[in-house]
Amino acid sequence: MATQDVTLVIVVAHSLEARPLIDHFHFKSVKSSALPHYADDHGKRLIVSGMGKTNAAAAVGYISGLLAAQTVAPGFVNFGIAGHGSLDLGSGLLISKIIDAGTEAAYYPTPISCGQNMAVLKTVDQPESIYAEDLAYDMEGSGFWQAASRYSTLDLVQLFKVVSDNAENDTGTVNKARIEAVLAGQLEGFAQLVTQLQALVSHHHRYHAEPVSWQSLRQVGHLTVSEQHQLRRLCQRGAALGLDEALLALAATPVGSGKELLRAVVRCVEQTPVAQPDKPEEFS
Amino acid sequence: MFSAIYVEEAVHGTERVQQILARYPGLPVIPCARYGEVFNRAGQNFRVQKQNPALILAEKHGPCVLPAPAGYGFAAGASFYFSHMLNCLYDCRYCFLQGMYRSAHYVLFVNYEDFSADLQKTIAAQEGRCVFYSGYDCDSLALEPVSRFTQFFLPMFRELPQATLEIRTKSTQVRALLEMEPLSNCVIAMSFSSEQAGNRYEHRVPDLSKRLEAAAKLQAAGWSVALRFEPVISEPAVEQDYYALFERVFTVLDTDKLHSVSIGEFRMPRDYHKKIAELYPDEALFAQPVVVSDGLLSLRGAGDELLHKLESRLLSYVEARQYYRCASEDIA
Repeated sequence: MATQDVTLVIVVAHSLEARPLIDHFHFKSVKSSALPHYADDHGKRLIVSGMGKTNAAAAVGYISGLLAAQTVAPGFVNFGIAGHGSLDLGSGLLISKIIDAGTEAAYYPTPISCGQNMAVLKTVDQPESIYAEDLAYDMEGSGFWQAASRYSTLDLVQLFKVVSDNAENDTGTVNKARIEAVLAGQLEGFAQLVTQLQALVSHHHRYHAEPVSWQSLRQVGHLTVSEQHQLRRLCQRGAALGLDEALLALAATPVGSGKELLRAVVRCVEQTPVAQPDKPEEFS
Repeated sequence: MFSAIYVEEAVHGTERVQQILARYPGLPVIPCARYGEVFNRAGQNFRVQKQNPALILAEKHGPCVLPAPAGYGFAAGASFYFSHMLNCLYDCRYCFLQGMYRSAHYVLFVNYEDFSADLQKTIAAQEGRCVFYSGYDCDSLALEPVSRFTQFFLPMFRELPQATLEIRTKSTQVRALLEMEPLSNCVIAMSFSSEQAGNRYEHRVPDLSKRLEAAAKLQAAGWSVALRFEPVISEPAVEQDYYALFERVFTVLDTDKLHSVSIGEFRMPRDYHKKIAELYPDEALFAQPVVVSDGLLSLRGAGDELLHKLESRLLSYVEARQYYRCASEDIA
């Protein structure tokens, strides 16, 4: 994985939700961005989408465009306040199911064991004031999910909500002080989720990293797009078989056309005896 | 063991589901309408999901019993399979399930009564004996303490002696079997790979010695035990590795009492191989040169010569009547 690769994008709706994260993770503002956008030194980005599911989806699309050159897409997490039908203010919730109130479609983030309480989230178009059901309410979740799960592996997309209003303390009582207070109480819990998710994403990125031999061989001879794809897969196979050095040696050998290069790489990968592979890292 | 439990709303109130949920009071329970909403979605990554798999409790719709693939199993004639579960607790790198399903979550179909009705209907429709295989899409025993699969299905097969049930497993979960009277028409088929291949490819699978111990206990208790040496993966020293395995296995088990013994090489449909190679670009097994025949892919350098050598050695331990070569490799 290249060191500049972004592993996690945090999407928030409002600058009041961004502020505690900027302080906690030491984010710095990214200039010349169409949306308020921050980066840290550890592969994270923070973007402020604006309220509502359309804005949340647009922000995911926008930052995904900015990161399109990455070999592997980052993970995404939506952080922000939510109402709840029964839970106390300040409760932190990892979302296990999202229901879009408009379409009644349901979406299921992959459960991740991070010690947080899980809850069902309903994404509504207008602030909820009745809290009819025993679940969380927000205005971005389903839009965020639909966009993020298109740009990334859906197993790397999560939502974390903090209860800011309920039947006793409705949306009319939510103010800057309330938001700061409830989010502050859940920053550590959210940071744990971020750490865990980022580790999962980094692991995913690592095994999809561009092979060392590919970086060198792609410079040798002219390759069509199709040939580049073939070469990349051959280099991946070579790396898995422990043939990086043999392939790198090919890069130093003069070859003619792209086709000749491919033939030489195929010979190397297909004809070298297979060594005993090591056990994969996740099981060692 | 599970990150969460999804429950189809239609089965949430059933006694079987409530019993399972009671075993995991601390786990999140997530309601869903149909298991496919979670299990069949595009955009999932089996490899990522396998690190935090969830359990899905669902109802099986449509036919519960299906004809077995050609060449699968030990018997000629009418053969069928049924899957009360999709996916396996273990994580064997060579397993075709990684290429067959989009999700690594475990689906447990809890409407056993519908399976039972379909099994009985299928048996009644046969003129002679028939065989049913369990363990095609899962490991039949690995989740036994939760599923209570044998406790439900074996009493039914006890009343249907014209049908044979093969339970395919790598598990050591044999306590429920040892607590009941053995069935003459039930075969516990235990899969083994060489210790070297097991260490390399079979993650989360119980230790070979513990599995052998479980097989020996079953034999001693009067159960019919079968051995499945598959998938044999061609690699340096594979013959010696399997010779050592045979020696170890047949020192522990009573060969005369074995129901059957089979060997099968590593093969899988080309499409599954392609998907798994994309999931595991760093895995040498899926980077090796292959040959394709009739849509089935196998490693170059494997094939008849290797299997003949292993068969010859195997037949020095067991009778020819006990042996068959597995023609179909779609086995968990």
